[in-house]
Amino acid sequence: MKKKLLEQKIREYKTGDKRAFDAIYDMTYKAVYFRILYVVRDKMYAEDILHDAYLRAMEHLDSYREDTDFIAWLSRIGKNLALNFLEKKKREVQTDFQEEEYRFSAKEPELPWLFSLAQKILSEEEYEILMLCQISGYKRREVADMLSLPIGTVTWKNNEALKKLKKHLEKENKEAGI
Amino acid sequence: MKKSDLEKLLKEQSAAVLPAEETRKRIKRDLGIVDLPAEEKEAERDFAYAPAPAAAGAGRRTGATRNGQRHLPLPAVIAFAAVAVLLIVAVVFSLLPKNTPLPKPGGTADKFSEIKTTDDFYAYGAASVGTLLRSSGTSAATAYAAAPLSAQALGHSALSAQPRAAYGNQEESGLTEEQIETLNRYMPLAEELLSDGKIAHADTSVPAALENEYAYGMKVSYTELTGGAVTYYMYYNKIMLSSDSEDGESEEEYALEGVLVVEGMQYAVKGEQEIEIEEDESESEMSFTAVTGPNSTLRVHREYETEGSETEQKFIYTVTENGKETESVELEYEQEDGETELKMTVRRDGEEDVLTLRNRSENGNLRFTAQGRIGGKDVSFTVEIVTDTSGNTSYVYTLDDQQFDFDRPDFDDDEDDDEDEEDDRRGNRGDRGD
Repeated sequence: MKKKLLEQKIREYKTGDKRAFDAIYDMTYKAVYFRILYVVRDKMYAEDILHDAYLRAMEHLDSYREDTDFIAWLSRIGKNLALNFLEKKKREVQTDFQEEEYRFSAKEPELPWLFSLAQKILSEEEYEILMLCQISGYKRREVADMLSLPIGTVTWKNNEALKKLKKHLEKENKEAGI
Repeated sequence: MKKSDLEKLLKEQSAAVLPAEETRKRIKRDLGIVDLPAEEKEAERDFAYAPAPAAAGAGRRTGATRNGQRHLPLPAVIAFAAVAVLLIVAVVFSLLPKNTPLPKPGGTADKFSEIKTTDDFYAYGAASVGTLLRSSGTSAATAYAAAPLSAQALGHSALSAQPRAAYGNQEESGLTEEQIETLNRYMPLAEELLSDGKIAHADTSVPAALENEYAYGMKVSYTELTGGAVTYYMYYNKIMLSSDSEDGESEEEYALEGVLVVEGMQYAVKGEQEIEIEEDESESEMSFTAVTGPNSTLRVHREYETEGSETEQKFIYTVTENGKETESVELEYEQEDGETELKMTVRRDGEEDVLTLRNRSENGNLRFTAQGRIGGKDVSFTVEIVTDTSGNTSYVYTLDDQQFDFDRPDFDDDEDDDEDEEDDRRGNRGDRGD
């Protein structure tokens, strides 16, 4: 089980073996990143917040209770940082086109439009599962383990997310006469 | 379009979405993790790993640059803010006398004018709302405060007081019990506002149990007229509105969301501010709200107006129960005969009562005078803080030779008791658990 290995690596890191970081990062960063990306909808900002989340988590690793759910703990830190960042950003920059940016933006969008669309129409959980299953290359069993969800839920949410995306794309194509 | 086509499309674009490998390198660098060349890695295993730098400081990227904006890494911002606040607090404390002097008659400081920054306002909000929540703790509030607030239906008043012993006839005095109870709820706040001491605030660490939720901690304290120290802790996240840096000092305007710990209980709080500036006029509204139950809040907001060189500000406390505003109290400082007095306007059940309070404490005798109009009648009375042989204090109201004795909330501030202090910090005695 990857979670056991993850907990083992966390213990190693806590006892001073910083080499364990790479393994911890590899086993967690995609889940944390997509949680952040869903909130901020911008790759570069998401990378910066991912950076801050790991720094905060690793510097306060003592506050993580062993054998609970490290990915959930770390994701929560990432999401809180992302929400704070977004609130700040909302006050600083407001554009009329923000809502429809994925369709009408004159500049090159930060993310491929399909991902912006997914962020717009899917729930947070659907988005996260879709990204982990389809983009990150994880098996559904691994995603279920990672998110502490039943495998049936992961399969169902992944299919629902794909259906929603497909339906939306077909509708847009129809409207555009394609 | 087939489902498999969509899956393929998503996969094709994964490289454009996933974080760059550079992010990992940056994190490692800032954590002080050095990747050794391959040939040295094996040798390195034989040695104890060198301790990482205490903080991710040296060599850290100072922030991503984007659209001309720089984003400092959060730990650096926190460290910078902590150092700045500590310096300010150190300077302020070095200028304060070592022992809090007894209040001088009429020597009251106008605490509202001491509120200069966003931090000052939220500290004031935490102190005053904390005091009102604490003063309500003498009766019904104890019951709700001891239980989780998140999902519990509360059918009673968020704020109420209880007479300990009334040895006067309230009807003869011209005041109803309800009127005195209302007044008594605000007495600890009036006492705080009419005392000499400052409301001090300093950054503090967030307890481990709340660390995942909140980035900032603030310790707010003041000294009561009786000499007792009152301390509240607040843990929160900032929602930045603007920040400005001048002469090496930074000023931030931010909203906040978090918890206020009062007597070991956590109350959800939020702070908001709005500023409007037009030519030489400016209006600013700031508010601090504590959630006291489902659809019930205690809110303080400041109305601050400047026109040319004239400034007017008042603080309004509003109690909302089950979504309805049940009471509001407006507080303003006024100057009369060279003395500072506190004007209190209470609005409840469509009626308005006005009282003006002055601190008349002298030689250890802690006393206020009050004059005004309550229930349509002119009233004049005194309020004395009396300490009994056990050290418990009460407010004794004297009206027309009648006396009424009400509990005064004593703050549990046994600094020597580490467990109590830790409880006060974390809110252990009633974790909301949500």
